[in-house]
Amino acid sequence: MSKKIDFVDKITQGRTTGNPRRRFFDHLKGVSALIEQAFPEEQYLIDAGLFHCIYGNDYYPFDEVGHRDEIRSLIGEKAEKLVHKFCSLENRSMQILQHKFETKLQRDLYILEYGNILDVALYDIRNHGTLRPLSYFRLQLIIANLKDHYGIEMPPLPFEPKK
Amino acid sequence: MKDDKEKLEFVHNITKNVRHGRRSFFDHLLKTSGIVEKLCKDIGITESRYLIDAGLYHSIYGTDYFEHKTDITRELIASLIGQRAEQLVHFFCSLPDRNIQILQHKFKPDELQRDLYIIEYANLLEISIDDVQSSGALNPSKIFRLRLMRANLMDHYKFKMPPLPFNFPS
Repeated sequence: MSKKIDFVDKITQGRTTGNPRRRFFDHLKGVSALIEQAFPEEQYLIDAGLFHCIYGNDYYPFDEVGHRDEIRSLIGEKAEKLVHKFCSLENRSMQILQHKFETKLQRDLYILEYGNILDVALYDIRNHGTLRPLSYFRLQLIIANLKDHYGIEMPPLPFEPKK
Repeated sequence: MKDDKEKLEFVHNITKNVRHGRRSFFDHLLKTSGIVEKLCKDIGITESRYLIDAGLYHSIYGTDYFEHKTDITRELIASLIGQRAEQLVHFFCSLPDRNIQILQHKFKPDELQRDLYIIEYANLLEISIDDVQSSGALNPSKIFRLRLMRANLMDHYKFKMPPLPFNFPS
């Protein structure tokens, strides 16, 4: 795991996110940790969580990173392919919640997006005490979909939306 | 099935003292039905009468705003708007966490899922238009849900949806 962490740490040096700003690396580690809590046996999902923005997305353009072979050698083909798909989606959250992808890919995209939104939501609550209703709605929808489409019971959310 | 005047009078009578924010609940129902009618025309759904009626009656069995009156039976509603519209409305009203459930894209047959999207889209759009007219703003969660339903109607059902009448960032 340390090679993977070192790689992500190195290429995200100087990047920050959120309000107040925090290291982007901390967000990536947070997403991976949340996925590990829910899916401790699924290493490729834990790795995909750590690398979920490695190719950039609407919010974090990592133009300098295009080394698919190198990333594949670190996290394996399955995780790399998932991350590449995740990063390539325009209006990602919207597209994932449309429930339009092939069954297994759709499940994995839900899980990555769940970890991603939940990590940001937990950070917002720690720092501001509130949660955006949209974040809560998207989490509720993903949790309901994982349950009803895949029979996966996710833990209840540890917060309520802002009224 | 009754004529349009009777359908309207019935809903008007039973909702006349009910408010929906700053306006009457009937106003919301009538405008929702109007949005369904225009949408069906725009996207080419020719068999639309039951959807338009379902838009007008979409809350008849109770919602957060409108308490269900026990003297309203399913038979009575079916006699007014027909069985197909009544079944859709009954299902729509029976869903807990309706917004989430409809957006889960889990209902079969596909036509039921499509019809639920159309009614919920019109319902939310009507409320959103009123929000924008009264406050000039719109909750990001509503914008996202409208865009998600619109995208689903396009990608799952191949409809050419008209653009939303506002352009807020989500």
